[in-house]
Amino acid sequence: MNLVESRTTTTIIYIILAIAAFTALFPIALMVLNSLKTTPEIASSPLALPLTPHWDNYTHAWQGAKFSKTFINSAVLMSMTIFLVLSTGSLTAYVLARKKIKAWKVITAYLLATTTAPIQLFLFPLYFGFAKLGLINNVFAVSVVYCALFSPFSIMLLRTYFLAVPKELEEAALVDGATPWQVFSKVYLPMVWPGLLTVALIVGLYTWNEFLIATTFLQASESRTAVVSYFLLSGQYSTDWGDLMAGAMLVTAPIVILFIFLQRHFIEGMTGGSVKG
Amino acid sequence: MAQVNIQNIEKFFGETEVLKNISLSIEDGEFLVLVGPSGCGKSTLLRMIAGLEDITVGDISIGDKVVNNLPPKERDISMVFQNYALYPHLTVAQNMGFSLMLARAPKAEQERRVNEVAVILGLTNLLERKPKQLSGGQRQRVAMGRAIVRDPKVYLFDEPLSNLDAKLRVAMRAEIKLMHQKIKTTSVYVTHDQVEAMTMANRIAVMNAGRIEQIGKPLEIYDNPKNVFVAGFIGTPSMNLLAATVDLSGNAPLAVLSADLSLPLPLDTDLKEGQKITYGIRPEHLNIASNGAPVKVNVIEPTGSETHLMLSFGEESLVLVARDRVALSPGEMINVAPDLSRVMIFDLESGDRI
Amino acid sequence: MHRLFVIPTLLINVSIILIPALLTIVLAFYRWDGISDPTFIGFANFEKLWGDRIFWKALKNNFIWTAIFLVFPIAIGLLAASLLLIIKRGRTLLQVIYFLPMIIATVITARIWQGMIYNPQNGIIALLNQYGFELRDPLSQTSTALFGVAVVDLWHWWGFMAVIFFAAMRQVSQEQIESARIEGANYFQLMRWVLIPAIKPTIALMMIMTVIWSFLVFDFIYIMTQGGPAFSSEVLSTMAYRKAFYELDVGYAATSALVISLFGLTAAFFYIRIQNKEGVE
Ligand SMILES: Nc1ncnc2c1ncn2[C@@H]1O[C@H](COP(=O)(O)OP(=O)(O)OP(=O)(O)O)[C@@H](O)[C@H]1O
Ligand SMILES: [Mg+2]
Repeated sequence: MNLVESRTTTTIIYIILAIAAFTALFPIALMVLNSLKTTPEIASSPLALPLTPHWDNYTHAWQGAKFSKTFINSAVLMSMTIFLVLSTGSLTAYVLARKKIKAWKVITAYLLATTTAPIQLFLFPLYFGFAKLGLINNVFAVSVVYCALFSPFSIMLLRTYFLAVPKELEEAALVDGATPWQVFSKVYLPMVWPGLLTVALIVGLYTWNEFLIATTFLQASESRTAVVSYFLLSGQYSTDWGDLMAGAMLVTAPIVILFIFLQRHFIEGMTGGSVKG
Repeated sequence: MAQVNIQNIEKFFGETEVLKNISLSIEDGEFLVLVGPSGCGKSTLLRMIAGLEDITVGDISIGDKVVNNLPPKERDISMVFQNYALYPHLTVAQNMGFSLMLARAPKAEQERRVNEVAVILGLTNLLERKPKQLSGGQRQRVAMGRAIVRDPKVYLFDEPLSNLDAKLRVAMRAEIKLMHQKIKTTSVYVTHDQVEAMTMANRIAVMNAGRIEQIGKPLEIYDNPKNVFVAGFIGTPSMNLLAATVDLSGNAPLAVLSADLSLPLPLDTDLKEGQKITYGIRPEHLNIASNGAPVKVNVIEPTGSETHLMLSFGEESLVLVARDRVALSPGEMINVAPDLSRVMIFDLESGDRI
Repeated sequence: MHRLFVIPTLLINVSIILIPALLTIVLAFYRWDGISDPTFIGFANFEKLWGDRIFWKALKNNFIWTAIFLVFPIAIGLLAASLLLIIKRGRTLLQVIYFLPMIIATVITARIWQGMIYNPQNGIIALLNQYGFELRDPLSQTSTALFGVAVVDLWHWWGFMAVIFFAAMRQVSQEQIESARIEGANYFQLMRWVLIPAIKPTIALMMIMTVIWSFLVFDFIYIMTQGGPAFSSEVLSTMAYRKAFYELDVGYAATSALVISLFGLTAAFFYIRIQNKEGVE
């Protein structure tokens, strides 16, 4: 808005917004600050600056949570999930956006319905089924579960990007001799890549942070994700808060750095589809 | 090269009938223009020839093959779209060579064809650019180039010039015409601009509300419109069309337009006394004549080469195009008379030419 | 050809979600420990659920949770969004800050609050107690545990609402807002007569989603209290999870899951109606 506001109004507004920002940042600041302190230092005051930064908190946490193994597990799980969601989801999003098949309405409704289903509705048979098939602790199997969980909203998001491609381009390609597959791969895919990037980011974030499925299906210490290993670490040594905050920093840092650089994509992707005009 | 035959085509979108029993045959090497007001179904017809819409009833053949069930890629056609439909992620060269690339033509062959066409269209310096970095006219040229590279049996154009400014449109119009005279490939060209239709076509098909009203050479249609719609649609400024009643009581037959205005009718018509007609006279066939009918001058529009006069009598208005400059001022009364040999009479009800 | 395109998605979705969901419905009528053969017991699980004190407690907690999240995040979100709309500088930065809690893993957020704020030995609570307050860890009290968790979830959640509402408000035509201001509308009148009516569809959607999510809530509660102490913060999903994986009463867990789904389903029905209406246009 470009109206001139009185100085007091503006000041009050900024104060309220600043309080909100402080609220959002305060716990995060506590994590950063205390990740460099010893437990007695924290106990004497969580707000005080560290006397000398205790970087060894980070090495303790790194070793304690076996991050050298679990970070790789998380990264592998993330890559596989992103690949699965993008490859299967973009195909479906294209078909639904362009109404290529008669059943597009039914499929859309079905996918929307699954986004609202509680995980518990399918978790138990899935778990015991996977156990029977020997798929517990199998990272690939979990990435398929994530794909099923994250596909519906990814497809709805990608759909809007496909809708933004002018229909004439598809028609021009058909006249130019493209097969349906070539229309998709040579015309649409190169044009919707910002959507693919956004979906990749969101799915990556969700996969990295996911807890319920990961803790249920990846129990063995060799297959655990970073978040689950952190959860177990914090259960064991629940008194060494300096180490725990350092571990929290380690798990959070990659995500936050990515977020700060690509915040527009994150915000667009996570809020996309929620704004009704 | 091929002829295109359209037989008894009908098209429904759901319940609405968009094309009503269209038959049309386009000769080999002909440049046919489909013209008509917005929404009359021109694009739909063109897209059915391309294979982008399916056919509800009827047959379309290209060459001697019925193509009803062939996908676009098997019809050997090229199409130029109104908004060009250039692939934004590909360079000009890649855009133009897209169809060859899809057909897996050898790299050298692709390059040769693209360069050849680029020379013809003056695009050689732009080959490495993306569509975003081109002006409207250049994009238009690339879209043309993409169509030409394929060397198809039939070219289809859907209002390819309507996004250009007036001057560029005139230039491209001539260029497309020149191109067609050179390569002589059968072309179907859709436009709602009747000047484009008149200047470019070998033959024009005038469409209205899903029907073809008349097909013919441009001047044929101009001189002999079959009905009021065609008469009014072709020609700028458009023909004066006035409701009138035939009066045969005097020495010469008259068309009574209103209580105080009548215009003469040609002598050799078989009209009946009191018949209701539409009296048609093109603005350029209306002259200022001292013995003519009295009308008031409302607006004078000098275009330089000619002068358009907006005239009125009672509630009705008339347009007159004068070749000479006229010394008149608004509000003045003048007398006008039609060139009798050019008067066209239509039945008031059906609109058909009498 | 295009039918092939949707097969991978459907195959994965049906085998991971639909078939197990149908099996859950079947399981609700069985007693099963996850290992031996299931026994058909008809409606016994449902009857057990009806008489289960913890189930009613959990259900009540889900309703309290829904009420909290229908009010606070939406109100705070609307306030912050509308203020963001008025200011000229710093919008992007503030949005990024408000959004930040949303991208931090639940486990991390939970541990930060447990260790740095709620912890009576070394958290902010301990600090306040040094200044004479008499605060205790809210998570350790049956009367406050649920609210203690809700505050954390709220912290992580409200910024998301603010950003969504801000995006929606930005689509309201500038002329509409400006003319209202010129006609002398103050902040509350502007909200009441222009902004809220304009973004009503978004608010409605968020409320429906809030109901759905509130019945699915699991992570924060499972991580911070496991539903305790003494089931005071138990919700349906933590109860079902515990029954299946700790008490190996899978049939009973399936029954609870069905009940959760029933509540979600009602809200989901409206959600799909809203979403599909837009898809058809
Ligand atoms: N996919 C469609 N579904 C339903 N109706 C359609 C569809 N496409 C076109 N129509 C209708 O068919 C009629 C003819 O459309 P068409 O695009 O052929 O018109 P046109 O003559 O090309 O007009 P313009 O000069 O504006 O391009 C219009 O009334 C239009 O509303
Ligand atoms: Mg058209």
